This record gives sequence, C-alpha cells and structure tokens, in this order.
Amino acid sequence: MSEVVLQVRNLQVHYATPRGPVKAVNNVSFDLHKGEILGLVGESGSGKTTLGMALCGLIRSPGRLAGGEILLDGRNLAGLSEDAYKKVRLADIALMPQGAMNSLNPVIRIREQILDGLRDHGVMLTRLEADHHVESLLERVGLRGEVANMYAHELSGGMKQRVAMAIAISMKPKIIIADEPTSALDVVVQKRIIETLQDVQAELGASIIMIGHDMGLMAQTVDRLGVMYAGQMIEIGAISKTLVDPKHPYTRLLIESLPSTTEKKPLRGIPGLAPQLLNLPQGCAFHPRCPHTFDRCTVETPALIEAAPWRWAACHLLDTDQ
Amino acid sequence: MTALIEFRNVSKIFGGGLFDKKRTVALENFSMTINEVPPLITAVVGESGSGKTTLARLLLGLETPSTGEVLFRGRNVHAMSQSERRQFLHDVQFVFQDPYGVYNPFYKVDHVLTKPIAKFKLASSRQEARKLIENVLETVGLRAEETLGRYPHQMSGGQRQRIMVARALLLKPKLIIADEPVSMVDASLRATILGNLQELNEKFGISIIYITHDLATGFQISHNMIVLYHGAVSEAGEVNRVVGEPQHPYTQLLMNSIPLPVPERMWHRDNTPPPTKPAADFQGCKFANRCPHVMERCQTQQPPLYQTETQRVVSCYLYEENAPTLDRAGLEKVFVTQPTG
Repeated sequence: MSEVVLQVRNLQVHYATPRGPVKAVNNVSFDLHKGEILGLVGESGSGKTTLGMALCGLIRSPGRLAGGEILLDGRNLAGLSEDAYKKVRLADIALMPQGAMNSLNPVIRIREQILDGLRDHGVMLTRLEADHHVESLLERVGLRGEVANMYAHELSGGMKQRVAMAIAISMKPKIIIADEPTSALDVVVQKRIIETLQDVQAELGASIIMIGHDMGLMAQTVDRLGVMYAGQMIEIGAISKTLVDPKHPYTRLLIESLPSTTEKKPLRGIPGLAPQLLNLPQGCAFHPRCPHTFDRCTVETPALIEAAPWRWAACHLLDTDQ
Repeated sequence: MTALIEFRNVSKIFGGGLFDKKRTVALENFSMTINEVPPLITAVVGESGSGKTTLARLLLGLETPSTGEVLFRGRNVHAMSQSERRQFLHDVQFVFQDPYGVYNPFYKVDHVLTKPIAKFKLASSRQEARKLIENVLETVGLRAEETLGRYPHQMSGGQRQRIMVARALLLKPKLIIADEPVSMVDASLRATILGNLQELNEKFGISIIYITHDLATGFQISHNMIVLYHGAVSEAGEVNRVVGEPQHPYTQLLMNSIPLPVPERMWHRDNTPPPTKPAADFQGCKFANRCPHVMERCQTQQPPLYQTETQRVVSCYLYEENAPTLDRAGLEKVFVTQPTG
C-alpha cells in the first residue's frame, strides 16, 4: 500500500440533545492512502456525512468533536481552533458538500465564487492570472471558459456539480471529500461526472473520500469501501473483494438490494428500520435486522477484526473461536 | 376491451412561435393506448428533458396538449364535467418524486390518509376509517401503531414514500402514476417501495405508469417500456426485449450508464457528448448529435418506428432493412397484453 495521507483514530462526534448525547460518529478509525478513492456507504443517519464534516472541521453546536484524532500527514487536526482549521480547509482538505449544486450563490458570477476561496486563503492574483486560473480550472472539470461569467441559474445540474468540483480543486488539496456528488442527477450525467472526478484526481494525485448510498456507483468508482451503520464503521476493505465476498451481513444485504438488469427477482430491501441513535440496541447495533443473529449479538458489540488480509469487519460470525 | 388511457397524436410545445428560441417541444406526436384489462406496469424512461414528466402532467390534466387529446376511459381529461373530474381524481393517483416536499410539516402524517377518506366519503365511522388506514399501511409493510400520530420529520424518506403509496391504495384507483418514486430514497429502501408498487399491480389490479431514468428498476417491475428522448419515442416494447438487448443507441447509452455492482461490468469510457436541445425547427433524429452511429440522413429526417420484432419498435435507421415500419399511432401493437415472467 502506498503512503498514508490521513489517519483517523477513534473519532467521535456527539450531538447534544435534551435526552443525552447522540453519537453520530462512534469510534471510527481508518487510513486514507495517497491517490486512492475511498467510498463511505450507509443509510441516511449512518453518520457518513457527519464524518465528512468532522474531517473538514465543520461540526457546529450542538455537535462537537468528543474524542479521537484526525492526523493529516502526522499533524493532528482535531482540536484546532476555527482560524487554524480555516487554513486547512480548501488548501489541504476540500469539501464538495451534499447538494453542492444548490450551494452556489445565485447572484454572484461563477468566476467570483471560484476566486472567493483563494482570496480567503490570502492568494493574491492579478486580474490576468485570476482569469487564467479560473479558465484552466473550468476546463479541467470539463466546462467551457465562458462559464466563468455565468450565473448558477444558467447552468444545468451536472454543470453546477462541475463548478463545485472546480472550487474544490482550486487550491490543489491533498484530500477531496465528495458528499453524494451525483445524487439527483440522471444516470448518463452521473457517469460523466464520476469520470471527470477520476480524471481530476489522477491529475492532482489527490485522495478522495466519496460518500454515498448506492453500492453500484461505489463499485464503479472507488478503490476501497467503508460501510457505516449507526455511526460505526462495520466493514472496510478493497471494493473488488467486498463486492464478491462481503464479510458483514449488512454489506451483503446492501449489495443484494440493488436491482439487476439481467434477471428478475423478488424486490426485497433490508428488513426493519435503521436504529435510533439515542436508543441503540444492546450488543451489535444491526442485530434486530440481521438474518444471522445469535445470542452473543444481543449482548456484546463486535469489534472490527481482520477478516481477510487488508479487510476488516465487525461481526461475531467472523470470530472463528465460536 | 376498453382503453384505460389513450394518447391521440399528442404534442406539447412550450414557448412561443416557430422561430422563438425558447420554444421547446416537450412531447411530439405521441400516441399510445393502455388497456384496463389486464392491469400492467408501463415504464416511461428517459433523462431530464425527455418529456416523461410532461407526459404524466398531460395525463393528469395539469397541462393542456398543444395538439391531440388525452383520454381516460374514453373521456377527454380536459373536457370533463365536475362529477367526471371528481371520479377521475379518485381513479387516478400519483406518487411524486420528493417524499419530503409533499407533506405539510405542521400536520401529522395521518393527515394525508384521513383527508382522502373524508373527501371521498370512504368510511362511515371513525373506526371504519381507522381500519381502512391500518389495512393499507399493512399492505406497504408499515405498522399503524408505529406510523400514525407521528410528524413527517420523524419518518425516513423511505417510510414517507411508502405512506404515499398507501394513500394511493386507499382510494383503490384504476391507475397510479409514479414519477421517479425512488430517486430520492436510499438505495437499500428502493427495493421495498418498488416491491410495494408491484404488489398493488398484482394483488389489487391497479395499472401503473412508472416514470424513471433508471432502466434497471424499470426492468424489474414493469411489463412494457417506452424510451423517450426529447419528446419522441426512441424505442418501445416488451421490457425483457428492450432492456435485455437494447437496440436504439440512446437506450444503449442509458444501459451502459447504469452503475452495476459487478466487478466484471465496469463502465466503458465512451465520451458521449452531453445532451443539447435540438433547434425547434430541426427535422432530423433528435439523438443525432450524440449518436456514435450518426449518418447524414439522421440530420435531415426523423427515422420512423421500425418494428424489428413482434414486441419491439426502434426509431433508428440502423434497423431499416428487413423491418416494417409501424405507424406512430399504433405504439401499443408491440406491447405485451399479458403479464410475462
């Protein structure tokens, strides 16, 4: 494996509520390697977006970073002041937020929105340099240079997503966090956006964390996949292996719930509902929905264990001592 | 045999006159008949701008056709008397794309279920109404005691969408139009909702028009499929034929864009240009500027529907040889009329 850019260790994000803290991210650890695309999948409420926000230092009250480390090239970002984190964001870790296409300012030209971040980081450019930079960024994400002078409403959904990508790469970050970069886009546009994201990543040598819920899209895009459930990482490993031989029953159900284009089979989702984070079931959080639950699952929370070389999963079925 | 719905040479043009740049042909000379018996699921597939939502809105009477007419059980949906319209609103139900936007956040979710009961006087007592609601919720796999009395924000997107399906079922309609019902729902919950729709079709005999951009889900639940591109039919027929072996280059493009969770079926890079709206006076094949097989004549004249098989038509000159042409008014001739496996 190539060098590690980001190490996340025992990360915890809690939201304060009148009924006690909600553990939106619960003890998550993983490594991100240079130049890889890591996918994070899970249902709504599994903590994947919160995890992405935490890596960007964007957790706001009533949420707080309750513990753990975020090591970027060995430097711990957890606990940095807001001012210090501002310097890291965009320059080192850039976020393409969920619904990025709706996050553009409707009354400011695209050019200014791209330059805004640079100015905030104290990058001084002459007018000519700025024009050149904006144009090359837009071209890199597959847009014409004229887009710089347009407003958000003049662009299609796919084009707006590309602008969000141009903003994210404007300072050549080491890490790009793309939160559902293609939700609400048509299949054809989705494919092209992902291809552009891959091209841009190869060019910059950046690492990407891609957040989503579609296993099919992950299969086509990422190198490694992390599966989240109720705030915890329950499986992580190479996507090619995970697809063929998922180690966690939840991962298996996620893969099986996708519609096939070759055979018709009864449509079945994952039975039951995602647990309430305030009131997690005892033992393994997935046990009420799991087809393989046995006694131990209801009392003891499984830890991530290396189920195969470079593949980890948190399930008692994998404990061969049983 | 009565026709449930009938489109007769329907066109819908938005914007001004022939030379107006903003003029958009949303649906062009579209004809189709769907029979009431047996009830089948028809998928209408295409990207944004293909005219699939316009088709649904025309059917509901929310848009007036520029030319042609839309009939429901033999009655023009734009010329109904008040009582006919009332019956129509009872017989045709809609499931929208956005399960977040359809609820009023100040009302409990019960509201969307009790309202139609009151409006159409479906029950004579509170107990009877409650029983009805419990039944339909159970059909879509929700437990009444865990659903009723809650506010929309306390439910997941998947649950909300299932309540909308339950609401549609409450009225025992003849037809449900589902416009991208699962595109905003978690992938793991999509299967459940599509399974619900399928059950309504099989158990309660409700015809369904399923509008989507996803060929995979269309394949799983429907019997017949219509692929639209910029308001014109590219390909149509029995779903196993269309998805199993797509013939139109546009259907092939849609098919190749589906992200499959299969390592052996990775995306090919094909560099298809993004969709551009053809000029209003363009007479050729609307897919010509994106088509990898484009020929000179594609730019000047729109290909007719070639019936390449008993159960399929394709609007593409590649299939001109040995295939008879089918009148655009007779699209349903290639549809299956019995549910197939």
